Amino acid sequence: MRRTGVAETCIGIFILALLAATAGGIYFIQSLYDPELYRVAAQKQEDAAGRRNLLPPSDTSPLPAYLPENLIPLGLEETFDPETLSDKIDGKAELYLSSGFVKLSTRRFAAKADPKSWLELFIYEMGDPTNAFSVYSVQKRKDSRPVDLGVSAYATQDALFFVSGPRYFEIISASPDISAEMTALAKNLVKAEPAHAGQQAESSLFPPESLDESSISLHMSDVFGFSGLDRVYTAGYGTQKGQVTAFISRRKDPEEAAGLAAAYGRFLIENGGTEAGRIDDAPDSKIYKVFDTYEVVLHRGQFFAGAHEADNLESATEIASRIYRKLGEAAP
Amino acid sequence: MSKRPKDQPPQPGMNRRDFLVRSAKAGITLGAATALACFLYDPYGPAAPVEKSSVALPDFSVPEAGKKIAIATGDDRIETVNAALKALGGIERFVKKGDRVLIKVNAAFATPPSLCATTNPELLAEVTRLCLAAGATVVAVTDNPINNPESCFALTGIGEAAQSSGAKLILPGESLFTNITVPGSNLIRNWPVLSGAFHGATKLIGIAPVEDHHRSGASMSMKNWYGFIGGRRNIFHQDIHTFIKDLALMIKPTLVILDGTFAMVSNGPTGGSVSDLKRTDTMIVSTDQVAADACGAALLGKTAADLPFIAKAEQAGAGTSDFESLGPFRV
Repeated sequence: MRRTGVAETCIGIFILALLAATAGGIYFIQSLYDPELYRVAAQKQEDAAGRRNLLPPSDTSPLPAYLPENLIPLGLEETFDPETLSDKIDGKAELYLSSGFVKLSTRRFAAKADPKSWLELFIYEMGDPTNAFSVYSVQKRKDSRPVDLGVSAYATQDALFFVSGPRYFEIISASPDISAEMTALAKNLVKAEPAHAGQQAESSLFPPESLDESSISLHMSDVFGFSGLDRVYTAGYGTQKGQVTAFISRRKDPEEAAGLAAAYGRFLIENGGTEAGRIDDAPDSKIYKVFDTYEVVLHRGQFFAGAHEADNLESATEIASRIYRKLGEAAP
Repeated sequence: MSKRPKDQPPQPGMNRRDFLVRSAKAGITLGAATALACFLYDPYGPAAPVEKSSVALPDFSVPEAGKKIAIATGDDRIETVNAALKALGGIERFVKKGDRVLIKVNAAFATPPSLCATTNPELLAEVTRLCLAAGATVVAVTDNPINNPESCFALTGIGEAAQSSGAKLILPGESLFTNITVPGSNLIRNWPVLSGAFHGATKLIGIAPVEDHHRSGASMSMKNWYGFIGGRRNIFHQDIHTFIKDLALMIKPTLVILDGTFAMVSNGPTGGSVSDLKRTDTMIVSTDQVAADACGAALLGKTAADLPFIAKAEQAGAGTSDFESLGPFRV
């Protein structure tokens, strides 16, 4: 065998010693490994990512075109995505996230004449008009008054709420002194939005007599506590015989509507309800007595509809009959 | 076999025997290295993070004061909070000369005080004044808001109320957070908590409004401690009732003040209009945070049974949901 030279042997020993030292070093460092250090670093990265959305645009950003002359910006715009929405509205984020939320932009403005009077504008991008109408309608305040903005809108003592196409708007003021500016801002915002055709077809199917139009709402999930029930429009009726909540939901096809009516009926029975007949002129209907209230469940064509928690049988059947006939006109 | 002279220099080239011997040595080396690597390989990775501080935060309760609750009715917060405290024996029963008082407010949102989504600034100023009059050397006010802290303290009026009444404002700087694990907690494990705000504090008072909450059903005294939590805390909304119970285990306050002068009965916790408020004219002051929340539930038209976090906190030993058993002082 060929013998190695002295220099060759020394280099070999040196390389082996270096490798051994490297291995020992790795072993030693590994023994000191603290996962928390890496966790904290990751947390900081997450926080930074989360706060990126909060970063305002540069100071040189132009004033929004919708800003009335008598308002001035009070701070910069903030935006929030589904990941960061709860950083702005905490637990209420769930309501929006379950309804197709895309983005929230907020900004505060103050009255030029009195900077202590300020308001905050919230613009929720909801993806489509149905989602936007849903979050608008389910939060509707009881003591509100309608506002003529050319879109679904209402006002309270200190705030204005409206929906235009896929966007839901809130303007919340810190004092009542700024209501004129609030209305001007709302009008400009509606004007700046592209025109949207009437999107809420189901809401027009509620028979108009004794209907409280301001009560029309769209519920996206877990309607009436039943997990299988979604995308349901509700409306309040005040008949001479009592209060009734009517409901209508357009389903994919007549089979789905019929299946849903049966499933909801089973749900009512499982929760203490009993069958109490049907409406004579509505063959696809069933009446349920649930404790002290009455429920009518029916289907016609691709619609699932009925009356919910009526005070008495007469008012429940009256409203349900009228809905059944109206659905017949829409989908004979 | 030929012999090579001892000092003969290495011969160039390699014969078949040399090749086989060296190949065998290389193979043995590679095999040994592979075996060693297999021996050292850990398929499960490092263990879970070491819980460095599995300790409770200080207990700020005053045992000699016992479990008590006072319910004052009226539309003036200053009068009702004074009446409730007087019924419990006066603020002096809880705050002694030389105490350093930490007040945890709800400053979660940068909204005006009129929306009642945050602690009322006039109420905060009055409680601060009472603590200082009782001999407290320092009163500090803190929260880690949902929104930007500076904006929240400014727009809610809390910052100005704190400073004008002589309290120190503690902003939730990053250096004030340390990871802790709350004994008995399911979710607060090795999680950042605003523990720096507690340094030197000898008493802790929580002041919270009564709010509807889309996720938990209500936000009152126990949920108010959420503002001591850091990190991406919104993940806890997935199991909010357990988390509120954990908060109640984490904090043992001297007093909680539940301001039900107005209750936010809809669209909480942010509200958005005074239309979400209902005048309920009630101020609840208690040494038992579970009892305070059980009592406050009625202001939202609910019962304690409607709010699962109350039963969970009670089962965990944080207090009693049967506030009537404490013999409430009604004033």
